[in-house]
Amino acid sequence: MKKRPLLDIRGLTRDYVGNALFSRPHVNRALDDLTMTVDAGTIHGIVGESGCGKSTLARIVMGLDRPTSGEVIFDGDAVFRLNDKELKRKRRDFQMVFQDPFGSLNPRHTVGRIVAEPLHVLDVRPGRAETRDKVAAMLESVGLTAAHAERHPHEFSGGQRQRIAIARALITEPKLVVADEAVSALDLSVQAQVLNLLMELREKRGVTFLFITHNLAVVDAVADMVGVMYRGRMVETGPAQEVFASPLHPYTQVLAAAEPSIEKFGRPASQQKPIAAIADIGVGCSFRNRCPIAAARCAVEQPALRTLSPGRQTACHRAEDLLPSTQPAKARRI
Amino acid sequence: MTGTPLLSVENLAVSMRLPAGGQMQILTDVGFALDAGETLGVVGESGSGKSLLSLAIMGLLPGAATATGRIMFEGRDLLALDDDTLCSVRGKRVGMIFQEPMTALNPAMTVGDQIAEGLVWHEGLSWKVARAQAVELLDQVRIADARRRAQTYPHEMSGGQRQRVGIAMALALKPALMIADEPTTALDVTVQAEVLDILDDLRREYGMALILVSHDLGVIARMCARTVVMYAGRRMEEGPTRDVLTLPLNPYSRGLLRAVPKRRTDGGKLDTIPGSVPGFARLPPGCCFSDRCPERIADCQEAEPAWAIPTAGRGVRCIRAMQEFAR
Repeated sequence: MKKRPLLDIRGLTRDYVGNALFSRPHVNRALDDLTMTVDAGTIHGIVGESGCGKSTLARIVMGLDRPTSGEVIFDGDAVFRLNDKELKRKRRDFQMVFQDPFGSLNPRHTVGRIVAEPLHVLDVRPGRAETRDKVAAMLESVGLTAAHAERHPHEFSGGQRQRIAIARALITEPKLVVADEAVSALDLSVQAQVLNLLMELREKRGVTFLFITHNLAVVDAVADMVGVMYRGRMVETGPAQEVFASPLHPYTQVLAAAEPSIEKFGRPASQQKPIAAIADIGVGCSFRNRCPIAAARCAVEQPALRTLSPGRQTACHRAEDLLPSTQPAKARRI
Repeated sequence: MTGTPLLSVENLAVSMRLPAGGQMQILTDVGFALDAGETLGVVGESGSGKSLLSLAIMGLLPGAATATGRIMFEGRDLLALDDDTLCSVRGKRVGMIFQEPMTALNPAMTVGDQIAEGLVWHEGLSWKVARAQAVELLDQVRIADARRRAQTYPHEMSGGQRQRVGIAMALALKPALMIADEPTTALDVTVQAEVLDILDDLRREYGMALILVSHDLGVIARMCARTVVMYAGRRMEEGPTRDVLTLPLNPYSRGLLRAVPKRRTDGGKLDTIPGSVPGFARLPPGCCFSDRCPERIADCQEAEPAWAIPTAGRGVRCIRAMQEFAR
């Protein structure tokens, strides 16, 4: 018996319609029939390049934007079938950490007030003393001190501000935290501190994270599961470690090859294929113009996400060709 | 070894005048040399002074800054030049690519004209000829349909395309030295790989020297033959990139390399450097890294360690590293 996933996303599509004054309205499909599940207590990474729809996904999961079609089922409830009041009540269970630790905290408020703000959605709002205690406990659990509550955001460094943002997200004891590029703006030495904090919170409090980033190395370091997005579609999912060790979608391979690493010196020999423009969505595979192994079938038939080996899904007609002939025993990327 | 290098920075120090009065030293005892066709990576976290270093070489220091030392470029000390002479060097002999492809371009001018402007200004070409050259340059940085794209405005382009325009602009006058300050930080990894390849091709083709400033050690590993690691306005370590990244001498470089995110096979925590980069007003006594250094000894806080050459081609600022070598 498989446990019910905490987050169940089914066939999510989001179209943005551009209404230019003198041209025909044109539809930009940010999410295209996206299906995925996130199990409770896991760190689920989402990777992809800018424009792949990963931030749209975050906004919809947070209920900040509505899908054109599809469902988001969070903890048994279809989020977009709730009325406003129910949705507001539900918000205590999912919170968000944004990318920019400078823009996401109100500079005029004290840290205490910033962290306490989400408590407003609770049915029974805690009293002043209780709020103070909660804020103090929260600040301490993210590695700050209770005394920091009196200060303002500008007195803190980037890493500390991101801790404040995490404290704010956790104060209502949510089940799910959506982190959209939450460590991308941080320096290397501080980034690792914040990543450790996320892993610790998952362990101690059982918080589930939807961790959205363009940085493969970061996802590889912290995520249990990963989903790779391309042009609004999920093209590969699976345990993070396996996906990066032996990708089953050519796009994941292209991403992994392009990622700079301190173990790859000098310019790699392989040349990237120049990108031919394709405009049509829906016909064929959207990656085929960049794909090193595209075949005739890829131009006519859109590949669906299918299970290739236990826990591993890919949306590629030719994925079998990417399977290593003999499955390496738990190859790890170091 | 040939005679004088193309660029040699000696004993460079930059301090800023504070609004409240007084001076704050930002760069201290910076020095390196670079020959034609060579690549130097400058790595550091925010607040390490790496961007100020590129501005100093470019002669673009803000008015409140005073620089001492020497920046010898093609036989002239850039710090001693008057504004007019500097203007003929800047852009023409030294080009710069900025981090932010959004803000580095003029939004009210077509990209072709922005590239052509330098050619008209420095080479005295007519606009017509300069515009034709701009199209060629756009083609060189692999912008498809260059003739049409030259007539578009920056807002009509993607981030990767804008950064290519920035490169084309810096490249228009075939500078002997190119300074690229975080040129690919705002770009996706696949676009980043392309832009880095373009820079590498151009370096090979024109024998251009390249200084690449980045916080991304992977980018430095891919692009640069030599690397200098900076912290709090000081060079902590310098040497061939492969040596610096595989056998770092300074505990700060070691900490930085360990902090690069990677999967822990034992499921344990990621390595970190405790604390955060201190502000220039709050540096610890002695070695600027001593308050965060896991290998600190009492001597480290006595006095700032001098820049030392433990072995040919490597440099380091650390008492402990020098002790190791003495043994």
